Amino acid sequence: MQNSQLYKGSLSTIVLKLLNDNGKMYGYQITREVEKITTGEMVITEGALYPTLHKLEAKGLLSVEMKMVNNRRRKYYFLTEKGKKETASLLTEMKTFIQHMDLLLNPKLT
Amino acid sequence: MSRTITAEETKKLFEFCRNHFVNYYDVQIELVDHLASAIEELWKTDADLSFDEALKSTFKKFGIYGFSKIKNQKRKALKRKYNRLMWSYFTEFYRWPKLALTIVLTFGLFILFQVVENSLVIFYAYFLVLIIFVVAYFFKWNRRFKVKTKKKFLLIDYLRGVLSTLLILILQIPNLVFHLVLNVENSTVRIENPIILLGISLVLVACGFLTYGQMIFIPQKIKQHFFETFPEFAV
Repeated sequence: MQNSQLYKGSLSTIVLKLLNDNGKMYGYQITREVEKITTGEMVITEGALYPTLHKLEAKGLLSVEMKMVNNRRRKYYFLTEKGKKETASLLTEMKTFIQHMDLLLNPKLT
Repeated sequence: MSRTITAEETKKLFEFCRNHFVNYYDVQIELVDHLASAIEELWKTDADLSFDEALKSTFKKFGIYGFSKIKNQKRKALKRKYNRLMWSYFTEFYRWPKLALTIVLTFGLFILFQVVENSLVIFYAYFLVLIIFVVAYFFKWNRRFKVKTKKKFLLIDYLRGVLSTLLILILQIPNLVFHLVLNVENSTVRIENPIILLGISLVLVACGFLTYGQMIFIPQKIKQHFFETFPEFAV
């Protein structure tokens, strides 16, 4: 289920929303958080997550910061001002989309 | 407190990345942290699991193309970031206050074209300055952007690639001039149409800004960003 195109298209929105709620996060933490919230129903693969993060960074929606943790560097991602605006509009768009899909899939019988 | 990755094991993880064809340190960092975090999590439930076993099961999650996909996408993302930086730098010259400079330079060149008898002289001078500038800065940049490590960085390699391409392109100009212009019998060219002249002036000024951006502005930005991220490699 987690491999469906439906989820792939929403990966950016998921990542942005998580960063919006949690502030700074690193890659591994994001995959774990998604698993936790969806109680393991949804798994983000590493091969998909990092390209998405790098793409969002290149677009200027995310910024990065390095910190030392257990003798190694850890790259934290956080939303830029532009990213915050984009997240708000993406979330509204997504909610409208879900409403429309709901209407289409569960037409009210009159 | 559960087991954590030691410095020795971190080294092994970097080596693991290299063995899987991820040679750039700036790409390795994130993968190493990811692998290490995943292994540490495994140890929370099974403290006796060996490092190699834990690594093996973690790497499986990446899939066969996992690493290479991340590597390739990172390059793409870098290209995008670079272009975005370049574009925002360039468009500034067409917005107030830098627009004033652009207008002055463009009209200055426009007037020069009217004053100088042979327009080719202006072209020659322009390209000569451009070539000298690009060649000088290329070598200056190569000398200046040194890092205190033997590690390879995708960011630096990418920038070097862009600058080398520019250098090669610019060095084609004398060749082009030789073949296109010197073969024309009458090597005096005078363009009368003011609209064409204005267009040429605009293009030449824009090319100047672009070259300056590629050779000085962007490399400086990248260098600054690089040493902010990796202060320990600053020379």
